[in-house]
Order: sequence, then C-alpha cells, then structure tokens
Amino acid sequence: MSMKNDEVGITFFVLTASSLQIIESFFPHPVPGVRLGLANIVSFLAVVYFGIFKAIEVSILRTIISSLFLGTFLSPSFILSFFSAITSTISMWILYNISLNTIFKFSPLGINVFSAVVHNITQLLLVYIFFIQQKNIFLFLPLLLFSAVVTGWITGSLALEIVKKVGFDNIFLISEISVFQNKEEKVFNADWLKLILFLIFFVLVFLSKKKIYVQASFFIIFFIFYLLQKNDINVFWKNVKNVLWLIIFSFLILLFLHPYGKVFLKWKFLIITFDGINLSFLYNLRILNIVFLSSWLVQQYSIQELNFIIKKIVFFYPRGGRIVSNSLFLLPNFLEDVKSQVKKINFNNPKRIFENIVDIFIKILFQPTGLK
Amino acid sequence: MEVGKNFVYKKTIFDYILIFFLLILAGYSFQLLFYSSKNDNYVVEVYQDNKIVYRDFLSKDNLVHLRNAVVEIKNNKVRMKESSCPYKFCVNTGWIDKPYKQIVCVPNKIYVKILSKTTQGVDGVSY
Repeated sequence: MSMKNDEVGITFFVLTASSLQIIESFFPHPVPGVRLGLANIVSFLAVVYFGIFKAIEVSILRTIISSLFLGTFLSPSFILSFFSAITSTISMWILYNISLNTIFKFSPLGINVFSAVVHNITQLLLVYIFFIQQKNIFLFLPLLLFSAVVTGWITGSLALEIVKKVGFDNIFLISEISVFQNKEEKVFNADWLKLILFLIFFVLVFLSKKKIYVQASFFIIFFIFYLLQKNDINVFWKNVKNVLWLIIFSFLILLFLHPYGKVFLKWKFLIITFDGINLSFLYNLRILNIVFLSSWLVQQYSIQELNFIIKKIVFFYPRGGRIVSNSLFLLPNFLEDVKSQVKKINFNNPKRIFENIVDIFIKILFQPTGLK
Repeated sequence: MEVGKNFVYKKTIFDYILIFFLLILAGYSFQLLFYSSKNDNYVVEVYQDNKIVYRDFLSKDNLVHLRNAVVEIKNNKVRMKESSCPYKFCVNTGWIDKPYKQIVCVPNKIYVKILSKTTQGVDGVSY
C-alpha cells in the first residue's frame, strides 16, 4: 500500500463523512443541540481500517471541509464540532484497543455509545471553556447524556452491520482506483490583511469577558459594518441557527437561575438579578460577535481562497492541504451521488431501511463507482 | 490480515454493562447540578422595606449601597458599614459570619441575614 493510495482512501472517507454531516445539517433537529452524528460512523470505520492517526486526520479534515462548504468556518458550531470530533475519535480508539487486547470485549455498539457520550461531554466542556463560564450550563448535561446513548446506539448498530458485511479481507479495493487530481491549482494573492484583522477582532472579542458595554459596542459596530459592506445577512442567520439552542438555553438559565447579586425582581421562587441579566446578555452577545466575525470572513474569501490560505498556514502538512483541496473539488458530485443513493431508499418498508442504509455506506465507502 | 483477528462481531455483555453504567451516569448528573463547593455554602440576603435587594455567596466581596446605609461583605463576613439611624445598633452589631445570625436596622427597615444552602432547618443551636 503506497502513500498515494492511502491518501485516496482517506479522501473517500473524508468525503463521505463530510457529505453525511452536510446532509444531516439540512434536516431539522427536533431536540435542541442533539444530532444523530452519522459522520461518527465513518470516524469509527477509519479507526478500524486505518488506525488512530489517520482516523484523527479524517475527523479533523471532515469538520474543516463541511464547515467550508456550509460557510460555518471558525464559527462557534465549528469550534465545538472540531474538538469534540477529535476527542470522540480518541475515545473510540481507546475502547477499540481494549476490546482487541483484553478480555473486556466491546462491540462497535458499546464503542459508539461511549464515544457519543464523550463527544457530548466534550461539547459542553468546550462551551464552558470558550463561551459561557458559568456552572449553570451543566444543566444541559442530563439531556445530552441520554440523547448520546440513543444516538450512539443507532450509529453503533449501523457500524456493527457495516463491519460485519465488509470484513477485513478486501478492504483496500479502493486503492486500485486511479488517483484523481484537482485539475489546476490556482494561485491566489491571498489578502492577508483581512485575515489579520479578523484574528485581532476575534481575540479581542474572545478576551473581553467582563464588560457588557464592550461586547455591545462590538456588536453594534459589527452589525453596521456588516450591512454597509453589503454582506449577506442570511449567512449570519444560518450560522446563528446552528448555535440557537445554545443561545436560547444559556440566555434562559442565566436569566432565571442566577439568583446572586443585586435583585431586580422577585416573584415567589423566581429571583432575577442584575448580574443574571448582565451575564445572559454578555455571553450571548459574545457568541453573536464571534458568529458575525466568522460569517464576515467566509464572505470575504471564496472557498478556494480559504482552502489556499489553509494550505499556506499548514505548510508543514502538505498532505492535509492536498486532501482538502481534492475533497472540495469532488464534493459537489459526491453529494449528488449520496443524495441519489438516499433517494433510492424505500421508506415504505421500515424493516429494509436499516439494511438499505448499511448498503449505501458500503457502496459509497468501499466501492466508489460514480467517481472513476 | 491480522487487523480483524480479534474484532468483536456480536453485541457482548460488556456493551450492556457499559451502556448501563453510562445511563446511571446520566441519571446521576441530575444530582451533580445541585452540588456546590463548600466555600460557596453560605448565602447573604439583604432586605429593605421587606423586599429582597441583594442575594449572593458570602465568599464574594461586595459593597451594597442602600438607602441611607451601606452593607459590606468581606472575607466571608458581613457588617453594616454605615447607617444614618440615630443609635447605630446595626453598625455596632459588627461582623457576622454564621448562618441564622442577622443584622437589623429598624429605622431604615434593613434586614441582613446569612443562609446555609445545605442545612435547611435548625435542630439545636446554642449561643
């Protein structure tokens, strides 16, 4: 197995994972903050077939690619999914190795449930570290843990069926496909000034945690500039929708469950304090400011330019840059492929749906015919 | 290939043990919400005209400016720092730091008390 062919395999895994993530983001989420996480199946398969380092590579690259495609690069939802994808992949690997080498045999079901729980705990910790430094947000923990068990169960049983069908004999069929290449690499004169401006404001917004008027003035300035520059407000709104559960939830709990400080209003057991009002607006304005910055950045650069900039920044890791650009090049066709496969599912027969999904996974991941 | 030699193809008992353990963790996390560190056990409440004006942990230093009076919270203690009342009973009460002790200022209708978050009722207190 040469280096080049290995890269092809990883590219297909990355493509599948990111297209699953993209397709999943089009469906509405009935429970706030809870997602099925179909892309985590691909991470698990990468752990099984490629090993830990390439699996982490897959999970990092898929979050980057899907965020570039959806225009959520460097937004709060991207930060959350980026780090929790890494930790959940590592937890998968640990449990997988335990089940291989000791008497504690865990099947993919257990491994995926565990990794889903780790994923959600990491997300909440990240929210605590980066966005809302209040212990109240751990009120969300029970819901996230229970939902992680359910979603992990679904993805785990899918992963189990896939590995059962694929086995370990002919898994590198994929590497026989001729290596595809992105047609021509354009060289951009990347506008570094905007990026530096973005980084400065990002750090400023990030570091000011105490003063509400700082965040409020940032918000007003960003809002005016955003509209003056004729940026698309829909991009902002789309990014907000991704973290809407976080914004609404943190606003409510900080407003109503923070009975410390000067009291503003008291009604029976309900105490609203000035501190609570201050914190609820402060943290949410901070999140909204980061969303503003990221959606501004995404509109200043095209996807190819961002890809070029990422390549320049990670110059020590050319392979990743190649995979990203190849994946972005192939992604539109690949998405169509996945969509047409999904449309073929016969939803009238509930017993067959599960098997159909497994077949689609195998077809896409291990026999990519449409892209030869 | 050696890779898939020990792979587990069936759901095992350990899976269910793990999931059971995680469900217990999820249930237990409900309880974690009400956990607070020992430092933040005591809460100060300040009332004026029978309305709650201020409520916070005793560990948080603060100056509460009220009508005709100032309450100071410092080093896990509370006192009435200044008051406009004629006899200054409230100021002379000095620092208080135990639950169920209180500072009262009748002319200004101010009432400061310390609450404990863990012990709800008083069983036996002797001063």
